[in-house]
Amino acid sequence: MTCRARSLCVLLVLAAIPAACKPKSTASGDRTEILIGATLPLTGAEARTGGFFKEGYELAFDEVNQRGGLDVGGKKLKVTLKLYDDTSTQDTAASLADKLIKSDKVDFLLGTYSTALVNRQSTVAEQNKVPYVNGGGAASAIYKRGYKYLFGALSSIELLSTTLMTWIDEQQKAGKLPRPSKIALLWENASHGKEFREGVASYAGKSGGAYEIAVDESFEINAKDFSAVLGKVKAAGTDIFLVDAHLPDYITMQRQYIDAGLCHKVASYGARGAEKDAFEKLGKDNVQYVLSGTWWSPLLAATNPLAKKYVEAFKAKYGGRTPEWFQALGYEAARALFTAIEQAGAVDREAVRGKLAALKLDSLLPGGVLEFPQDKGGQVQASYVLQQNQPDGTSPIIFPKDVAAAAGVPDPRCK
Amino acid sequence: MTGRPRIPPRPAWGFAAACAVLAVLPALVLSDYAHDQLTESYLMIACVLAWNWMGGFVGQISFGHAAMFGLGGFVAARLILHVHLPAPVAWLGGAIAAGVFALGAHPTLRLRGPYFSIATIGVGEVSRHVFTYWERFTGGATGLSLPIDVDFRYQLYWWTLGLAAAVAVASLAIRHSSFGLRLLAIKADVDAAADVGVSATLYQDVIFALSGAAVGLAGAMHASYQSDIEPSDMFGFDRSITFVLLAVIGGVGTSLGPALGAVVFVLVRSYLLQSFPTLHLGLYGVLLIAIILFEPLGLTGLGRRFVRRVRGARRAGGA
Repeated sequence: MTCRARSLCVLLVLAAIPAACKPKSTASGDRTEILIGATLPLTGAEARTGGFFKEGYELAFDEVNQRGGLDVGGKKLKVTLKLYDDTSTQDTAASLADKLIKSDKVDFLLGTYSTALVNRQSTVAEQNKVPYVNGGGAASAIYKRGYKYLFGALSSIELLSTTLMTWIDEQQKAGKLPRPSKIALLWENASHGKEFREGVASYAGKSGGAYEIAVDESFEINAKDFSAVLGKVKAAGTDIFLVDAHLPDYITMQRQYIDAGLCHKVASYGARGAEKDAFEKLGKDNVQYVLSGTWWSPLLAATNPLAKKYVEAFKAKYGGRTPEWFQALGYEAARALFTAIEQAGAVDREAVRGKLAALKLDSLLPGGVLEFPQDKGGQVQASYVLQQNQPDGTSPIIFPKDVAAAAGVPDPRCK
Repeated sequence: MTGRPRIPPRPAWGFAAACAVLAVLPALVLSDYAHDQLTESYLMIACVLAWNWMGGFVGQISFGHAAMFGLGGFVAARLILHVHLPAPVAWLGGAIAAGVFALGAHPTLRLRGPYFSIATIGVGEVSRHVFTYWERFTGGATGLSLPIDVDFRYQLYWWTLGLAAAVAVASLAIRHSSFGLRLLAIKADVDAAADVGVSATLYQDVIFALSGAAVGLAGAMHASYQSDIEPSDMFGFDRSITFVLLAVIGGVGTSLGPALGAVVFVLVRSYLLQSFPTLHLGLYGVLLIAIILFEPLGLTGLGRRFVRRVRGARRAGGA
């Protein structure tokens, strides 16, 4: 007993010593660089997507440093990214954001990926009054908390479901879908999925009976078995299959969907559908006619000069590989922060926060403009583009019409 | 439950001195980040030591303690947001709710060993689902946001230190009381304990409720500390697993050993994440495997072995 208690005393004090010996602060002095912190899920459930965001961040930082750095009040300052792996877990994302701010003394923060992680991590940024720009948190619940230092480059999920329903409605009005159409609505049990559901339900409710939600079920993120919910979908005999899922769940569910012999005139997994990863893992025949609404597509390069320039730069850096929306949103979030720093003319958190709030930036996003409206909690309101996978393995933009490269159709193989 | 715990005075003074040093550290040399790291460590110490009352003293390995952690957090958050109670009062509300909830798990206490563990997995997972879907209480998958109060968050250092110290003292008191001996008797042989008049049901109910209340109190403080909580995180199975793993690393069944596991978890894991971002999971796994393979009593056993060696060497030198 004596030894045990003594050991504890020694341990408690020892545990505190290394931490206590750290310097309290660093003098700013003549600064030569701007330190920007970020965490990404480089391991864990979202590891693949986290790696994509990292590519986007690295390209944005490289571009700035290749031109000598940011012009801040007439002085060129290099930008350095301090990046940690948050392991796709909320506690780690929050703890590392705390470390970036208080130990690494970063000037600003870029966000992590996924709604849940951004939700938790942005609270740490807000507690410490550090501008936090992210391209990975879409649920508008994140932006309804009255935070002042939070800026999101992803449009809301509710807008995604409204955009999908608008296209579906056009098909119904053209006689390509039955009226009323029966919808199977599956959503991941998270704020992301809840908002998707609310958007579809709200649209259907206002449609005057054009749509009936026959199946309305949630599922757990990263589930391995969707047979129960897919069984309900099969039994209900629906015309439209709408799911809100992240990439791993899209791939798993679509495989089980095919195995179950399901076929719908319209099938969508929300923002997922056209990813190269899905084509590789499922085969192009098994993802035909899947409809997806994304925040960005490389096909926008045909109509948006900034998107074209970005795609070319990405291909040059990453061996000819074509970027997906993940990299583009990481890149765009970083670019927005850089622009605000230059506009502020100082490495000052309050000044940069003010510039971000008033930002109006030519963008590679749909619509061509990036701004963080404060009445929307700092969340971008850019439109979505809808893509549809084709039998030849391409996924052209089909909506909105001003950027569409092909006309979308309900799946002709399904009755 | 009779008989006063006997804690020798010298270690007690040493413990009080250590707490006093930790209490004044922020005012002296502690960096902001170290301040936060220690706050998180104290919360984890409280949780793991309280888990050890059930898992270590009674030998009932619970994989469902996240249910009490989450419940304490959400009850406290609701009391702060809607009843506008001061946070410390709301925390007590969370602790009581978690303690009562643990009492509700009474039927599982009829089970022993792996059967009890499996039952607690069920309780934990059912709780996570129920509270995730109970939107009016937990806010559903979106969770609840508490007002951000930077000053109060800073003060939580002392609240959490107080909690960790109180749970550590309670651990020693329980372990060295006749109540603790009864728990050890149940752990050794539940039938033999019953033969000498120790009611396994009663004592397990009491210790499970106390353990649940302490973990619930930590969950309530965690909610105030984070300002934003979600059911999937608060009630997550990962959290329950963490309590078990840390107790194993520190020394399950020892009075204070699990606290070592908590310190290792928060500080060493943080160091590994920063220094070896691509290897941290592997290194952490290797550390865990090494401890389980070579030292069943975890870091505590390792420490004891080291002390014995040093003493043996001294004696040999003296002879």
